[in-house]
Amino acid sequence: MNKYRCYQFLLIAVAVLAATLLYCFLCDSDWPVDGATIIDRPPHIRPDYTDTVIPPNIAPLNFIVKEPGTRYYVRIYSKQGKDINVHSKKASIVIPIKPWKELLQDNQADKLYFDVYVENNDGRWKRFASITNKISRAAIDDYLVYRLIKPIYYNWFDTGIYQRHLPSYDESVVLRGRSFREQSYGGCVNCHAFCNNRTDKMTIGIRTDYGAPTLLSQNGRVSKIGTKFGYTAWHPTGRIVMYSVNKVRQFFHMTGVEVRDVVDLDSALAYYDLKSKTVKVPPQLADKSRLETYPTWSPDGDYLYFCSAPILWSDRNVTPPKNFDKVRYDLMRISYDIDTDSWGRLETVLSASQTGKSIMLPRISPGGRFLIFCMCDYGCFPIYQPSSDLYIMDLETDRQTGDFAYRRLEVNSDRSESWHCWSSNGRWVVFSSKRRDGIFTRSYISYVDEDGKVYKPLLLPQKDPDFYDSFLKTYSVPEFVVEPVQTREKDLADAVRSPAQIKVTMPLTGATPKAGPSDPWQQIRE
Amino acid sequence: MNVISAIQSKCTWRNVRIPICTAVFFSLYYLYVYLCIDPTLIYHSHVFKLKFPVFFLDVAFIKSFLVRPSGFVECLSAFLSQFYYYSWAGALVITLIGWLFYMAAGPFVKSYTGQRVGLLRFVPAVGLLLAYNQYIHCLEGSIKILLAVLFALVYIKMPLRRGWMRWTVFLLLSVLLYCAAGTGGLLFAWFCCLYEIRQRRFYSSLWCLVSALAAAYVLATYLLDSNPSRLWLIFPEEQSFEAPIIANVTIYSYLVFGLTAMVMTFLPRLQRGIAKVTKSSRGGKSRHSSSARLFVKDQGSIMPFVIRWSVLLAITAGIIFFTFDRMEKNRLRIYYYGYNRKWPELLRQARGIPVEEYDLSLIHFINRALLHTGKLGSEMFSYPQATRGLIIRSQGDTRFVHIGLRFELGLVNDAEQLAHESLELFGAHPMTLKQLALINIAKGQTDTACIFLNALSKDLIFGRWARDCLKRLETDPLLLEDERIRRIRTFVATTEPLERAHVFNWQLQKLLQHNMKNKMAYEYLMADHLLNEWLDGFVMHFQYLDNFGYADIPCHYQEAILVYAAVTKKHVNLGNHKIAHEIQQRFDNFRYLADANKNEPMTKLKVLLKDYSDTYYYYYLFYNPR
Repeated sequence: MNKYRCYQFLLIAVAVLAATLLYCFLCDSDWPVDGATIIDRPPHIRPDYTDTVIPPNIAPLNFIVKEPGTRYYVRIYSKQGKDINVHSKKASIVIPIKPWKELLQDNQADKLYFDVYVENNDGRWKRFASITNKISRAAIDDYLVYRLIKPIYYNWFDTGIYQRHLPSYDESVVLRGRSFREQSYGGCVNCHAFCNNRTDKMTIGIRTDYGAPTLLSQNGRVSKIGTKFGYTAWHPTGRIVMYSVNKVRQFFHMTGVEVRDVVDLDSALAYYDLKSKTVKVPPQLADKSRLETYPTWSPDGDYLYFCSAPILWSDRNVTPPKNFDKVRYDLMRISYDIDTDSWGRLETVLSASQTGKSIMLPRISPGGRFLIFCMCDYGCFPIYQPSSDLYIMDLETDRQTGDFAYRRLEVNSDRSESWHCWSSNGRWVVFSSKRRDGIFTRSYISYVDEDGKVYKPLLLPQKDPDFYDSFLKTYSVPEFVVEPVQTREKDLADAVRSPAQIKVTMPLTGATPKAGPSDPWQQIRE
Repeated sequence: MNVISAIQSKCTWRNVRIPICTAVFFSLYYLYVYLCIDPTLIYHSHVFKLKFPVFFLDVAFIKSFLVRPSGFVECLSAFLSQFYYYSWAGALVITLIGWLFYMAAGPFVKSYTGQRVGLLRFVPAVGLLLAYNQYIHCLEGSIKILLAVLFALVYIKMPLRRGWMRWTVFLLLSVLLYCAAGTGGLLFAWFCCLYEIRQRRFYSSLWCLVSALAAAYVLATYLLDSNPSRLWLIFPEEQSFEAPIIANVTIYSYLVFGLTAMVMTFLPRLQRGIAKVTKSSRGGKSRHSSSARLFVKDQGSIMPFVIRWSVLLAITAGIIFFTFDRMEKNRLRIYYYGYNRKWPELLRQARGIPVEEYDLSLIHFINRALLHTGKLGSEMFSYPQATRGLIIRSQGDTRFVHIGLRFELGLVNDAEQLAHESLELFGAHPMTLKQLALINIAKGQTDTACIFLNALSKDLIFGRWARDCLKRLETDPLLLEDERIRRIRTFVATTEPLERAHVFNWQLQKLLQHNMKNKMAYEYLMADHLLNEWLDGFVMHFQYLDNFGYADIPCHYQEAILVYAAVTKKHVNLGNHKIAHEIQQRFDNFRYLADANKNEPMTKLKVLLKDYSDTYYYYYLFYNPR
């Protein structure tokens, strides 16, 4: 082939390509939706982003239109700013991120509309009633830290803590079990806890060949504490960390939707003093006849709230113990003075005999007004209890009336809701729910107004709206933080491997459980 | 005319004999892999033997590979591994890799030794066959080594004279290959280093080694998703291979290739040195050492062409014969038949397995096949048995064998637990996803089943099945039209037992309490009584025999009744049934022989083994489950 022919061939190829592109462009621009038939109902979309309150800084809420059609057109608009037009030949609606951000920023406290048009097989368009959501004025914290694990039983291979940038879809690793493994099976990373929604102080529990220590990160510096922290709560001053010591056992049900169940054969509360690097155990919080767990601080640090139940079995080594399904936890609190390190008198805030259910996971809003907790039929592990629901208590009203009244939230489903966390401004709450399928927990975000009304939740948005339909991991322990985790994954992994650790001794009697690498009862948490 | 004569002159036997013989060799190679090794057995050995790689047609899945060193090859290997589902396609992949090794070996060796390698080019291909003869799935390692060889050839053949250009090209290739093939990149660096030594460019050789290691460390630490806090972690195989045997084979292969390259680099120099010494001592002619003859070219060689090829074929056949793991093949075939529910074929295969090769997994599958073919009560003692052969409740990987059995019995929560454990430890293999989908459908958890089916729909092999199932679920969310699912659902207990135990016998009794039509549970319960020699329990449950429509009492049940009557002197109510005359007579003979040799246990064992090893009373007499 000579040079001239070669150019000729190239020219023809370019022309064909240009014609094809032009054709595609012309075809795509043909969206005659003006004369669309009006359908008097909103379309079905998945995830269900309808009638919710949206943070002004959240990533686009991409969704799938669950209506049959050949082409889809969605117009997104509000009072001000440019409309967003999404054309798609598939039912997946992927919203461009930049105009979405602008639209939300320009229309805070206004409504946001999605007009969905669907083309039938015969080429005629139909327009559904508008989907309406409200844009909140209150921003959500920029990051959500959670753990991704498969629904595991005894063994684990790849567990990890990740952080998600909420204004976008960026997800990055905080620490994975495989980051520090020695053998083929990865280590287990457990609950993560932050102080006041910031990441300068952070703890992560781990289990690996190197034992079951706790990583303590302070301003990017990592140290390893030679004991395992269970459920952890930082004092608002950041000077002490309260944690539970649980003798956890897992067992399985022969029937029912949820196979797994968990029981604390024994538990107590202890705290770690960062300054003196010692562990202390207040006797009131390590009662041999009771199970104490799930500590949380009031925002002023004057009260420690926690859950406590009487031990109904004498043998603390049998799994499951007798009456495991009759254990119901009370919500208790105890006053504390950080300056003198002194504890006050125990008070029952809400008793299980009053509610008929087991009270778990108290978390108080940053303003100190609301307390959200969950209740389930029995036991200490709400994630495995389909009966687990979220409840709210207005502590301000309770202070005035002296009665701790509570109510069930409207956001609950007939499946498990649990592991909630407040945003730093107290206007958002994130929680775990199995409402979609009963097995895989997903993170849901709800707006909470000044009166404590919790609005319809929205599923943590993903770039691919199909994402959750085939994702085989659960999102557990979601925690809002205002900034990304500063400590590098490598530094955390190095700290795990390092032989250096802060040695601590538990001032406990023989009857009280003690965590250690040889005792496998610090089970992985989902 | 000229063209024809030119072709004729080129197409002489001398010119075409090597391509023809090579084609014949690789055709035989392919046939052997296809017919004898049978790659589908490797695909189905997932969980039973190894963690078989999975591949999903999904952008996020593919992306997840590309962020770590060697991710590209892992992804490619995972993709090619899916072809193993079909033996013919899997054999094609293995043969292709073997052929590429053959093609690369010639020029590679020549670059180092300066001589043509002849039939030794076939060695890597035969080595690959050696691994597959042992059912070691070493595709990933093979591709990495192959890429290292090919990249080394590219580097060697590049006409670059200036040092800085060579260094730059090397660094680029090294970085590229490290990202794509992990340790393959370091092997490439080693090859280049040796080549540069051969060329007496010592600074270049140092550059190859140091820059490759530094680049690997930097890439693994800062750019790719890896944590080389320790230097050895830049060898990503340590992280990616889950089965130790595959890791070992791969690492040994790296060593073999690395050492071979070293020998090839230094051997000619050594030969020259020896020749010099010999020449000076003999004061004249030098002679080729015997090792140098290894590298002689094809034409004009020592041995005639036909003999050399015959030797090659004979050696290959010998290696194949002596290294082929027949027992492993038998075992994997049993797993394959078990997974695909081909019960008669499974029993036929089991008959060829010597007693000493039996393990609990095999016994489990055989008992399950006997159950499905209606022979558990009459033939189970024709095969080796063990008390834990019905079901294994251990923490080892063998427990995953039982997911299917537990599901069929109606122990769906047990099956779900095991399947989730398998998912976590062995990855989202399509066989596991399918099991989880079916379990959740049987439990009425259609939403959950859809998650697994959606994931499975991206699989190359099972994707169509998953999509069909999703479609069916749209119209029939509980799959009521599926007879198997419907039947299993009737077996599932709906109320949690008050007392809690997870002994298999106890679970079977609970299943029967829930549904007295669960024939599988009944037969397994009776078999469990027999294996544990708990004849009181056997007799107690014998009364339910008529619930399951047996025409006659199964042979082993009759034998057990005879044993029970003889041992306890108690009468068993047989209802409308009776003990067959032949069985009674055979039992009497057995007792007579046992009594006659009671003082000589070994003789007794030998005498009875011959005629009665397939009876329950033989098992009862000589096997103590306690």
